[in-house]
Amino acid sequence: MLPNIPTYLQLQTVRASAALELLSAWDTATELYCPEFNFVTFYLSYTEGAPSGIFEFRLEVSPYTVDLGVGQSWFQQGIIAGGGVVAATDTTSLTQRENMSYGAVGAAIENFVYGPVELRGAVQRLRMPCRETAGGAPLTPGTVHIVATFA
Amino acid sequence: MPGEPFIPTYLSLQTVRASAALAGAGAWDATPTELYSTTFCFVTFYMSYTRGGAAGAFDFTLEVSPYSVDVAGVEDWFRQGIIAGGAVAAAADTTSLTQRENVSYGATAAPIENYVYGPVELRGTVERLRMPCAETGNVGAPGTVHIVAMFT
Repeated sequence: MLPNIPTYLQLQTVRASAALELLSAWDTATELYCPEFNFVTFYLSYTEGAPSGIFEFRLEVSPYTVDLGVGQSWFQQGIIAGGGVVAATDTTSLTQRENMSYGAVGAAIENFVYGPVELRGAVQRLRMPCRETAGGAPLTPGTVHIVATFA
Repeated sequence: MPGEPFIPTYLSLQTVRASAALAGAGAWDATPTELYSTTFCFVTFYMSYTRGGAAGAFDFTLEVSPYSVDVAGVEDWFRQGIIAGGAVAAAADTTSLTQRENVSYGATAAPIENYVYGPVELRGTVERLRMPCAETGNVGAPGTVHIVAMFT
């Protein structure tokens, strides 16, 4: 029984090593429980399926421990572009949903880290869908493996 | 580590790279020192570089591991990523870019030059880290690098 406290390091598999879907379809992502955790860091591995392979991932989070029967259960991470601030004028900033793209530089497996991402105890579940991008090699998709440490 | 409390608020100074010349021909350090960073929130690197010849420059890269020891059959080390946020336009999803990152430092003169890198956030989510280096400027006369790190 692992102690589920903020300072406890917990390693979980976000995506078992497997090829991405054909034709740039998003995969069905594993849901991970993360209540009470403050931070998560993702350790990503990508092996291109063909030259110029590129994949995308996105972080989705839920404030609910289980999907709702009615209503929205999953929310994609957002990116914010702050608007210009001018005296005596309201500012309009922009926020939109964000996907992250990684392009392979060679044929061998490539490992990189994403995070730490702040959770601050405000996220009940998360998941990280992935896909080979249309601009990559959608007919010969690469392989992705992701683990995460929670603290 | 007799008597040393290993807790997030304890200030811990460790040697990341003992002072020594970089490898020849632009090779990366073959066996960078691995440091344990469990439970720490931040790390700040104190870097010293003395060029070996004119136009000396070196690269370093931060690699981290979610495992306290290497695990057979899986990838153990992951390089830091850099993110370039995509343009945000109303009514359209944004695609940002992330790639593995090396960091380059170029000497401005012959004497030793010291600078700081960080603090880098660990937030208790990194078990080990290491920082391999390579001469990139004057690969025929590699410089000397010394790195210590403060964990908090």
